[in-house]
Amino acid sequence: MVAALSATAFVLTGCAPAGSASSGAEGDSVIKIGYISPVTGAYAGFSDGDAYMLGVVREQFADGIDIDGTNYSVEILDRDSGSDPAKAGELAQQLITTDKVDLLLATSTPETVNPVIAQCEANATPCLTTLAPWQAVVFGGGFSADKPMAWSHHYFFGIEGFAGVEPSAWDQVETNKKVGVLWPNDADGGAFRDPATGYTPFAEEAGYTIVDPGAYENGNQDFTAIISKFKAEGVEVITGVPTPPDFVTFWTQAAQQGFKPKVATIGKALFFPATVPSIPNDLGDGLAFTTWWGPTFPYESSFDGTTPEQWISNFEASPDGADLTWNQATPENESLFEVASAALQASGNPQDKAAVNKAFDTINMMTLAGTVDFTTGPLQGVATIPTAVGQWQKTSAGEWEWVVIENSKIPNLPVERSIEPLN
Amino acid sequence: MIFLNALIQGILLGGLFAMAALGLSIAFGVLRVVNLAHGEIMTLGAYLAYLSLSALGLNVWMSLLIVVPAMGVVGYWVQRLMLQRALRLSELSPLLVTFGLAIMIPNALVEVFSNNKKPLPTGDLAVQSITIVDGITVGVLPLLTLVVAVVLIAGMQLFLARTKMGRYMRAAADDSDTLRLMGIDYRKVYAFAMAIAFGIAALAGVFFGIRQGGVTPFDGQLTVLFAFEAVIIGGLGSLWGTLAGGIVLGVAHSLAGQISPDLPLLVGNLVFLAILVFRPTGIVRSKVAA
Repeated sequence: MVAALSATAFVLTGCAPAGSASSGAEGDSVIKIGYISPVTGAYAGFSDGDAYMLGVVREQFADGIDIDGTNYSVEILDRDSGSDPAKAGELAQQLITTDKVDLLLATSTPETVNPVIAQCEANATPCLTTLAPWQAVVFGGGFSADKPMAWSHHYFFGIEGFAGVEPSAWDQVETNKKVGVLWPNDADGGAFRDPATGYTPFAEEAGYTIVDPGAYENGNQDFTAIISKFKAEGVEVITGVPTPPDFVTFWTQAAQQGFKPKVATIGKALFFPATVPSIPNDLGDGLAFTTWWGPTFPYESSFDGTTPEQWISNFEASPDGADLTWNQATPENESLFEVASAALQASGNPQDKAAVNKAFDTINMMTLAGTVDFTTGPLQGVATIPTAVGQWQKTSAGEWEWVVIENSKIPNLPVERSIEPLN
Repeated sequence: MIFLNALIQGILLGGLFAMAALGLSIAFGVLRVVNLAHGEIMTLGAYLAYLSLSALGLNVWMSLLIVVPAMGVVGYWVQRLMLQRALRLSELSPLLVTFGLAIMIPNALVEVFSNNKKPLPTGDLAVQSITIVDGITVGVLPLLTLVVAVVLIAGMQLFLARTKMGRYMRAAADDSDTLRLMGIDYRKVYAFAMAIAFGIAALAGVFFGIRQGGVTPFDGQLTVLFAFEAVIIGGLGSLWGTLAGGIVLGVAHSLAGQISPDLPLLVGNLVFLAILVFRPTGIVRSKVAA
């Protein structure tokens, strides 16, 4: 693995600007990496595997990294944003000005990612982020094609990640092509609803009609009106990005009131593996969702070649993962460190912030969470990752699992079977 | 027909709101304590139910026999050891104590139970429904929730009217100084009232959990808002008022949803605001004593 890394580093170093001046303290061979994630608060689920993940990463960095003939030891300063944008921003500022980190990493929802990016931009510090729809990070952070992020790099999928694969999954079932959507009145819902850059153009191109009952509020306790509208319009397909409790409320009320669509692909709510088994009366059986990572994905870690399947079994066998179900967020968070490590090596001088920042532009590598490619992205500093569609099923042994049913964007991902209609 | 269906669903939803609000109503009516941690106490109750399920193998209903008394004991000692002491500092201190609890409880729950949803399964109860006429279906669980809320309120009224402790509580609410002159340890009366408030909150938390199929640490944050609104709309300290407040709020939500799905929470809040402006005493103008 060291050989592979150095090889990557060698190739990439050629692209970094030569002769960049050292801006760090002289003779200081420690690289400080700040890592901000929501360990507590409403989005804590995204980082509940981080204790294990950070252990793995620290072990990888235990001997330091060799960059241009110098061995640098690596210090990771992990901080908890509390799922609070104000605290995330404050922590980023502290890490930059007090702890003098060379590089900041942040993950999981725009609430943590966006304020960290804002601080990095203001303080000219390189920053790498993931696990938030890229439109919400870039456009939500006030950036655009004309005004790109100068110091930050973000990789994750956005609306196209959902809308690009879900219609292919619906195509596998015969329906009247009427799609009822659950787009709440929040940042995600707004972005999906946008007539030009949102979800609808993708669905219409695939021949589907969107039935949008309107922007309900998160925390809505009564979905009667929405269900009546879906019934009246004869909706047979359901999609959307509801929060987990809202989706459970909607789905149980739909069952109570006799609304039975044929297919449902639900983002966000089904992301946490515990949501589906908790839906009363096994109503979660057959729900489908957009996924970016799972045991069979054809990925491997640039650190040591760990595959998703190995990662999951190691995680579940470790004391940190004992009580937890694996989720897709932990490997995504891990990949931040893989990409950071590659960029630091490519920079030639990890303490030259401009060089490190530039080095990210050259990254095109395989990680545990898939390929991260900043050389071709929708915008400067943005890379997208591919998605597939999974479907939940209850095994005869009474265990819940999901299987891949659609792989058009990840052709070498094995497809288990085609989608099965609900009920 | 659609309107009638919305009205019925709203009333049923109101039962849930009323149940959530009842503990808050008692805490305020007797103790004059605004318990900001009320939602978190509900969540805690749901987690206790989950523990009884997973550790003792009970079903959800049997678990209530453990959860409600256990949370009652917690309530008793929270009042005696924390809130009563805080009250000595100033009138506002208990409020801050409950605010602190509201932050500590969910984060402690994350530490212990992780953020993964913990299931509270009740088989197919949550999806059973009765079709009254075509177009109007009544969920069995919402109906049960409403019935339990009404029974609880009736029982609580009887308790306050007929028992000695109930009379002490009403006295403590009206004039705690005189109660002290009569030689009653008002601290015990307060603590007992808080025990009831916590026990009922835990019960409501379990019902919320059943409805959602399970519980996560931060569930309490939104429910407490509905509970507060139901209490204020109904009239502070009036138990039947709390039921009325819950139903008004539930109907406001479901009727507003018929007009547009983005309206329910807004209209609920507007009704709440309108009550505060035009009838600050609430719909039912009375005290616990009435």
